[in-house]
Amino acid sequence: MKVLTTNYITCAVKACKSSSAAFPLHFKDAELVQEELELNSDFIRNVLPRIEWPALVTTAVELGFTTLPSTKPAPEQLDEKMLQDLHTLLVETQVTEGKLVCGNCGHEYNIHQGIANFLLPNHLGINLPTPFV
Amino acid sequence: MLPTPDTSHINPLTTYEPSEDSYLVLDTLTSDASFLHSRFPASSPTPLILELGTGSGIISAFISSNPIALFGRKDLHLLGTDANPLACAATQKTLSLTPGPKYFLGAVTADLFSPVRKGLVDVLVFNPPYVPTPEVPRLQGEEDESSWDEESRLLALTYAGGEDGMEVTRRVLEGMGDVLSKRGIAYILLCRSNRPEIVVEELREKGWTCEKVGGSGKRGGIEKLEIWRIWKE
Ligand SMILES: C[S@@+](CC[C@H](N)C(=O)[O-])C[C@H]1O[C@@H](n2cnc3c(N)ncnc32)[C@H](O)[C@@H]1O
Ligand SMILES: [Zn+2]
Repeated sequence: MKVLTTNYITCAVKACKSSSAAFPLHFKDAELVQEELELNSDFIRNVLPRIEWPALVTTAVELGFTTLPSTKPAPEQLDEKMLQDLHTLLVETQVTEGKLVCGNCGHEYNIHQGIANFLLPNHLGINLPTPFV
Repeated sequence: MLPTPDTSHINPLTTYEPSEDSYLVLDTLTSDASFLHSRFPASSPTPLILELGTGSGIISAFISSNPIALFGRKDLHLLGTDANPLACAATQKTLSLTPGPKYFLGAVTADLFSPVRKGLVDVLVFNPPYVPTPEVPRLQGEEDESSWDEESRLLALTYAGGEDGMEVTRRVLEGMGDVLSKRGIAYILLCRSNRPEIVVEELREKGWTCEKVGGSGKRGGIEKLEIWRIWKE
């Protein structure tokens, strides 16, 4: 699972959807692997507008990446080094093991062999086959 | 013809083996490329694609390895979900074997789009379990289940659609307004017994634009499988 995933997901518990404490989910005991991949600066430039920057910074720090600036870089600030740093974090880094923890309800989602599991124990009650209207 | 991803490593007892429906999705996306090109011009932010029920990963791998042919741009990124963790593992493997850009974020085990934040998805793709059945299986196995029971549950997940074969798809149609972005579109496969004309009529009443963009298995003028593009103008 790539790090950017956490920018697009939140707690699967319905009651947490509207809570700001549920996003981003927090990494615990994360194990990382790096895969060297060719830099595509178009991807970094075009994906940047969609990123929730403060959440990405939180996630990055939890994983030990402390070089991100505290505010989102403007397009003209994307020099070679910034592009490479973002490429390393967003494209080359995979989380293989660990947990994602909700800051609102405390639920821990396991990550095993790179796959996070968001199925909820049935009592939390969204995995029913009935339509949610 | 664009190359078909290699899924020969999957175990067909626990993961859906690519079939007529899977290939229809690939063909339909290919033939709908000009729409995708104009909807997501290269100057706009990188499109986020979400595939629900990735199974072997054939569809996600196909999209991810053909960004230029399908979208006219090099940058795409994709996320997949499947309720079956073995399918998620198969998807990750297929993606890692498929040549092309490495912008697959990952396959996560989840009920549909339940962990995905609102308003982000640009292209939603779903080849659902669509066969009418008395019920839809549980999404999680029981602790003490035999492996035979577990395999039959996973198999049922691939096809069992409950009433009219629509119980899973209906939840997607009802929830997709929340997950799609402003420019978002959905490609949903329906079969004859889903009664697509009624489904589409209901969607139109709710303000969606629907266009049939793919079909197969024509018999007596009626198609067995159809793919609909659903979006807001
Ligand atoms: C017809 S198969 C399609 C597989 C693959 N996308 C293809 O086209 O070959 C349906 C897939 O949906 C998954 N599925 C069924 N119910 C689901 C749910 N509620 N949430 C997520 N995935 C689900 C099944 O495990 C299965 O992999
Ligand atoms: Zn929560």
